[in-house]
Amino acid sequence: MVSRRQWFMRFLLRSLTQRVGRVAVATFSVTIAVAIVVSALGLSRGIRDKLGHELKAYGANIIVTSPAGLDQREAEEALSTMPGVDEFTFQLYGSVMAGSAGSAVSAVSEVAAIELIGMDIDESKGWKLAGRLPLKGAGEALVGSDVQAALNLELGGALELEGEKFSLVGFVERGGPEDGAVMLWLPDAQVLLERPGTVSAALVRAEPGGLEEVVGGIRRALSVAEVKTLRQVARAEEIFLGKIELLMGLVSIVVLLAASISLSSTMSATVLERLKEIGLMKAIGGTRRGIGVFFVSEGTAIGVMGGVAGYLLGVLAAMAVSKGAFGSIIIVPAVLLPLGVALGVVISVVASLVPLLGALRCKPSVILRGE
Amino acid sequence: MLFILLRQSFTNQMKAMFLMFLSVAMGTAVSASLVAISLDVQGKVSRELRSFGANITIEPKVEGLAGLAGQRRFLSEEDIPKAKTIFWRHNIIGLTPFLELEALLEVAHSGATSKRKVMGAWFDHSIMLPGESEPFDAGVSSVMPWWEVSGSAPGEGEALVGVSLAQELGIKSGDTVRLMGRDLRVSGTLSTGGAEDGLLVLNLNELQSLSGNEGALTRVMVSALTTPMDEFAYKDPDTMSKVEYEKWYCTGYVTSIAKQLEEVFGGSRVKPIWRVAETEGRVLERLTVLVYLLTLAALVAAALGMSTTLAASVLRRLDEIALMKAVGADRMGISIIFLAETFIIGLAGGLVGYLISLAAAHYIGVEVFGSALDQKGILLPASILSALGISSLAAWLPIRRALMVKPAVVLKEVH
Repeated sequence: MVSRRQWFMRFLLRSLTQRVGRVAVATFSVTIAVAIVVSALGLSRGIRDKLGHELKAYGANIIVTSPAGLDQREAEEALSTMPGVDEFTFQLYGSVMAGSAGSAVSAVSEVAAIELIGMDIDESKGWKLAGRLPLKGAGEALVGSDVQAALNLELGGALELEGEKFSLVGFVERGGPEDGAVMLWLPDAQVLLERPGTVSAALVRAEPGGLEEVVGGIRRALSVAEVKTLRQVARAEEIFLGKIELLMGLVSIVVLLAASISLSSTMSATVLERLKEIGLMKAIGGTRRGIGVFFVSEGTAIGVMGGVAGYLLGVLAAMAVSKGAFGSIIIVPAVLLPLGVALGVVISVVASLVPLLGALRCKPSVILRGE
Repeated sequence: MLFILLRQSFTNQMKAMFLMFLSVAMGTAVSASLVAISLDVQGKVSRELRSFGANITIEPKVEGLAGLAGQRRFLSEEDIPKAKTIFWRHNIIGLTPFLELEALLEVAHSGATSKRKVMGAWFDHSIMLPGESEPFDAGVSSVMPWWEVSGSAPGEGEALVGVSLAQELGIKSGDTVRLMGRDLRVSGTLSTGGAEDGLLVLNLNELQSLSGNEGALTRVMVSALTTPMDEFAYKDPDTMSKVEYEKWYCTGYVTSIAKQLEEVFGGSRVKPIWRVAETEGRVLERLTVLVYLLTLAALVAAALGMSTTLAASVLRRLDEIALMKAVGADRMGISIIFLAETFIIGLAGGLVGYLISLAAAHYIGVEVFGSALDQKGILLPASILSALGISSLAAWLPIRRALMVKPAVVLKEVH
């Protein structure tokens, strides 16, 4: 004798395997709906990280200064171990006497004090460069566009700073104070200004979320320094990221709602198709409970298959979109897998139960006659 | 005859038809709202990005070492309204002038004197533009919304003290400072997180008359909506052909807007603030691509979702088709009935979906950007046509298959 449970399983298996077309359609629609929801949610979760990375180019959001100068090694140790600090760079400011040490024709007739900035000159973004960036320790200088215009300098020429000759390899226009200054690599500037191991400022880039804690931490670690947040960058960034996150979140909700409604109508349509089957089951003695359990199990099976496939497809879609937009893939959190499966199961079960309940109330003969 | 068949089909199968309609409407709604967002996202986001501050500075031209050595040259206040007469005037959404000087500052209660930087700025200042009825806000807050004044903005005979300066000299609100022979009451403190924290700030026009520099400015900060820089934009305008130059000049690049501003401000040198301009361009481009790709994914998903529902509904009526054939209907007649059915569903679903998308996109625009999205009218015909196209196609394929089978086979299989 075959037990009741075995009958049930055989019935379910048959239903799933023998009408492949119908099951395929249902599973496919669950897959599509879950995929689009997972990719939209995944993207909205990862967007802060990706955009934050782009916004880094707006520059430092904390600036640490000290009138007397900071000890470079001490500051470096404090900042590199500070949690929440993404990156930092040091600058040294000073003023030097300059003259153009060019050919005999443009012999130095004027000498003037010029602002000098010692910095890490490895940034390729954020300014318009003519020529190239200077190499470290090679006696090369980068000149701001205002200085270039004022001294009528040319690429390949030389500039005399405090009597020392520097060759001009590049001119930059930045739209900021650098335009009126000469820039050297930090070690070169420290030598020229006779301030070895000293920096005037540390430009710190911290994660926008925990700015206040980082500021507090730096204040404790470097007691002589004045620590300021560059509010322009910090606040605009926080507001901007919040808005974009909200946009993505709302888009995800719209997608979620539309996908759920659309999916439940597909599932209902496939159940409508089987009303006659329900009539037949009732006619040969199926209880309402038995038929209900049968349909719920079937819906669950379809929901799980579609949910898993949809999650995988959604992860791939989110990766592709992120690759296209940001040039790097996004990691979709794994918590969306149970979420996607749950979405698939709940919708397919609910959507098949609604028409089913109606059908179960009818007399088998009515359904079988097709009225 | 066709009409009767259609009416019966809709009344007999209310539920099935409603489900098809629902699926089409939802598919259209999500696609149309995402398309609406992607069409306007660039404009909205570029406006948001302006909160990162000015992207163009106007300064006096420096000539010779004298300029660097601090022998000031000035811009003229009279030139400010001209900024709103250039080709890209509507893209200039904020501008504000400054005058920076060094002067001897004396604190009344302590008697301390020191040479300090003093700045004149406009607070809550509007200017009238030629040919415009609305005044244009040229105050500091239009370009630098992060300036925080505690107390009140400096009026006649008043000054604002930057927080670092206030701390250093021990000045607080209500104290008196002496500048260029005039007593000024401290109306509050200014906190910006930038260099302004160390300055004394006066109303621009007061500083001009105090220092005898009537109508003079040392800097104008401009906030302009720009087109992201592309490869063409980085070409040197001096080496462009006439056609290229015209194209460059009439595109809203930050460089071409700067060039146009330089033309109207006498004796000026106008520079993009490259850090801001470049980052802005890149963020804008990436976000736009992101929204486009997401929209594309949603369109594909919606089309697939709609077609599966419709295909499922047609498949389930195979026996009906067989029966029609058996009683003598020709293939043409059957196709017309089914296509007319899906046509009505596509039309209704497309229209309702469009209406839902209007509401959804409007809500998102207001909620996120504080202003409704610019909805393009083209979306109405576009959504209805694509809903019609997809549903017809989705119905047509199974119908064609159904028409090919023999009625006897189908009818035997189903029953």
